[in-house]
Amino acid sequence: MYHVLVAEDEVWIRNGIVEMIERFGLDFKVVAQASDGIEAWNLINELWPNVVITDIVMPELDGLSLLGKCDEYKLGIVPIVISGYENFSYAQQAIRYGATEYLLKPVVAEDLRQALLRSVERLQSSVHLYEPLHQIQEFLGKLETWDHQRLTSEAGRILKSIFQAKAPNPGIKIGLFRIFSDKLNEQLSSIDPAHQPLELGETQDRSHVEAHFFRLLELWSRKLTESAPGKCRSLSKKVAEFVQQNYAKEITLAQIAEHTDLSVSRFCVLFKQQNGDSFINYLNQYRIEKAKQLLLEPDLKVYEVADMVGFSSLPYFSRLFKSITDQSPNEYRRSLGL
Amino acid sequence: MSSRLSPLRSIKMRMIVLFFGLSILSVGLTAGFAHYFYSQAVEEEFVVVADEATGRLNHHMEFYFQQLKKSTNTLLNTDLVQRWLSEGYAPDPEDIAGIEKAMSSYVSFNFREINNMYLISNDGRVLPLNNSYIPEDPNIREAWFAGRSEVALLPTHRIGKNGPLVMDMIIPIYSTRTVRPVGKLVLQFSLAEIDAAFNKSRLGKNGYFFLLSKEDIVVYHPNKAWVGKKRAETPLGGLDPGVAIGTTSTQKWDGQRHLVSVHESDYTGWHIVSVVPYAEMAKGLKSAVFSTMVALSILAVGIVGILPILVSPFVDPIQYMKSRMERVAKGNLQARAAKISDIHEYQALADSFNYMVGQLNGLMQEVAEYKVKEVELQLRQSVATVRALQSQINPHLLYNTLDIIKSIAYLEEVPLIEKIAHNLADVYRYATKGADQEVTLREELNILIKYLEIIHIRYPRKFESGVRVNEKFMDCPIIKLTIQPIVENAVKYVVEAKGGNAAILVNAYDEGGDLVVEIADNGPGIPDPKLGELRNHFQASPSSEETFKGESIGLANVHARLRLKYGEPYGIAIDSFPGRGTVVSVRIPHGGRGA
Repeated sequence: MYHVLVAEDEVWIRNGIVEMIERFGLDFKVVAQASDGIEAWNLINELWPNVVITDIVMPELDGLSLLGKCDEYKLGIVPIVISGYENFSYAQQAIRYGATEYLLKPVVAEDLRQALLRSVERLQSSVHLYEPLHQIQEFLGKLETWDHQRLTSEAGRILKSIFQAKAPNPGIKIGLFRIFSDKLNEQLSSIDPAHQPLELGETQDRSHVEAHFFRLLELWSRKLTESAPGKCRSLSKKVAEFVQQNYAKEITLAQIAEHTDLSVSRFCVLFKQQNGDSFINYLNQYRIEKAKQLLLEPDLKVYEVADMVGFSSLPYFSRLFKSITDQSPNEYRRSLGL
Repeated sequence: MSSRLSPLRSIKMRMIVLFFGLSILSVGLTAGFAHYFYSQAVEEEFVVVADEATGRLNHHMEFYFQQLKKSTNTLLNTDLVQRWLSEGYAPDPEDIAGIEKAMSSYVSFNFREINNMYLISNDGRVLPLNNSYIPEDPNIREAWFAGRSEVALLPTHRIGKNGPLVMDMIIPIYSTRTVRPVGKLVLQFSLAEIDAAFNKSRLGKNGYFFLLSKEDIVVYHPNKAWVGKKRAETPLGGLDPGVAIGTTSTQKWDGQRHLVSVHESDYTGWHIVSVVPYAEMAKGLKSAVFSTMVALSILAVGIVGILPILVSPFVDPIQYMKSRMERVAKGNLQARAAKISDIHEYQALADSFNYMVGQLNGLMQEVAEYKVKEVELQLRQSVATVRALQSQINPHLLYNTLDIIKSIAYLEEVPLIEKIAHNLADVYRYATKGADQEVTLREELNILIKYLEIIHIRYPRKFESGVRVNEKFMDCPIIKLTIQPIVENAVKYVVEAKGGNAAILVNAYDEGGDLVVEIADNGPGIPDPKLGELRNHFQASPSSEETFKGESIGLANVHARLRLKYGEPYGIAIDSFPGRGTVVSVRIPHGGRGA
């Protein structure tokens, strides 16, 4: 399954695209939707999707800039651009950021399907790079639970696997090191506002890279013991309250991070550390649980339920429902004799 | 433009006529004056000749008569005659014999032409020489017997019916003693002497003289048959009798012009008339006329034969310039005049012509360029107007909205709405981008099909359409938005008007290297006035402002854009079939890089 992120400020269009991908029944699934560029970027950093479908004109951060940021990571994310403009300079820019697909609005289902199918080959050559990414993600979740010794040995293992990976070009490895380095720097910044990010640079020298990361981890361990852990307790409660109140609406990472007075990246790490799962998954599960309750109401249609728990796309809701409960919403109802 | 000009009005013909006319005039004037003065001279000459001849003749005749009279003196003064004449004379045969003898000897010694003599006494006795003829004519009788003191001559008369022509001279006889008239002698003589005199005096070949008495009796004429008769009784009556004495006149007589001159004889009181046929006197005139005619005909031949050759150096350059000017008039502004003549006026004309055409050419190009610029400007303005209208709708909003509609339709599974939204977005996007650029026929038709799909959705199961264009034409380049607006026009006037119960067919064919795309509908056709108006629009220069004034970018606009891009004969043609439909044909160049 290739993971897809859809970034589009027009909810109906976004829903339409999500729905299309669900209906295609291809080897693609939508893992997240974003209504602005920043949210998309946060979600990309959290979920590492394989494909990013993005509009160009979006609030906060436009689609082309988003693609530019993705391109810096050299992760081989396949961008698919959708736009109302048949504008040459836009298309040129998109191509520069690695986009091979440029779809005009209104997006035709068949065109999108073909675009996805064409991207499969590209995805296959870069999919193994996601293994180190997931390791990094895992590592970050354990930053506060593991001791310094464990952290350095785990980090050494991740670096080793990156060095050994078969990448089509050396830029990809550099990208991975940079992501790792950036993430650590972010965490450092979130516990120490005075922290000056340490740049790795474009080097591939193993001892140099290892030294860089050990230094970062050393800094991290030192700062962590200096800082007083206090807010951590209340984080889960705060999040639970917020989700309880707003689950029917759209909740972005930025919103919840702001609500908890944390940076997005710090929030994600802390949340995962405390709950053992990502905030996105937590939110989805919460919504599906609510849906389960609502489905008991025989007067409510399934799509009404989906809407009430914050999903505007019925197939997306259904797939998510099934992946969590192993039953489709209707099967669930029938199993309860409704 | 160039009506057939009469060759009579050409310079060449005119010059020939002019020269010919001038020549005739001068020759004619010469001949006329020559004729006039020559005639005068002829008349004068005639007068001189006639006077001289008449004078001589008169003198001769008078002298003859005087001699005749004088010669009688001896005879008359003899005693015998005196005695015989005296009153109361008793006739004596001896005396008579003596007188007769004296008379006959007189005749034989003097004038043999004397036919007879008569002695007449106052008491009426008559003594003839030969016979006792007494004239029957009462006039003559009276003349014989009347008392007279002067010698008298009687006009010629004939003796008897067929007798000889004679003249009578009556001589009075005076008594030798008393010197009183005692009787008369009548000399009757033939015309022999006069005849000889007149015959000797001829005027030229045919000219002659004749004598007229006071009583208008022909005394003498070469034609003896007329002599002795009254003039009026002879053909001479045709001559004007009123001619004054001593004058000369030209008279038409006996079918000929004659010069007639009249003189009076003092002695006899007779008129000597000289008559000469004019032609004879005017022989010189005749030859003058002849030479004039010869000169004239030589001139005529010369003018007709040589003048064109003489004129051509002047006319040919003009003809040449004319042909050059005609070329320019037909639109060939490259026509120039070569060196046409050594005459520097013509060379100056050719130079001016070349300069003028050069200027004209430059001016035309300027005008053409200006016109094209103007048209382009207007088109651009109209396009700008359209763009301005379009920009009032934010394209981002439009396409997003259409995508939203389409997405909802997708989510709600309403494919018709999806299609409408999608096609509308495509058509709109196509129409707003790069209005005057060239696309392939395929692109144009693809958009057309999307447009038609919307119409199909509007009028389900009613509207019919077909786009049947051979694949080989699909790559032919065509200006954007040429077929679609025509179909849109048909939708507006036919499909919508008939509530969707209509059909539109598009097909294409190759015609002489051009591609013709036909858009046919089965509507009511275009009414004649409207059709005429449309065609006028097409024919008018594409710069005509009205082309762009209409509510929409109509047929005229499409035509103007095609004409501007591809030139003649490309553009739109309309065929209307009342009650059956309309066919709009779009003609574009084909075969360049197509197929």
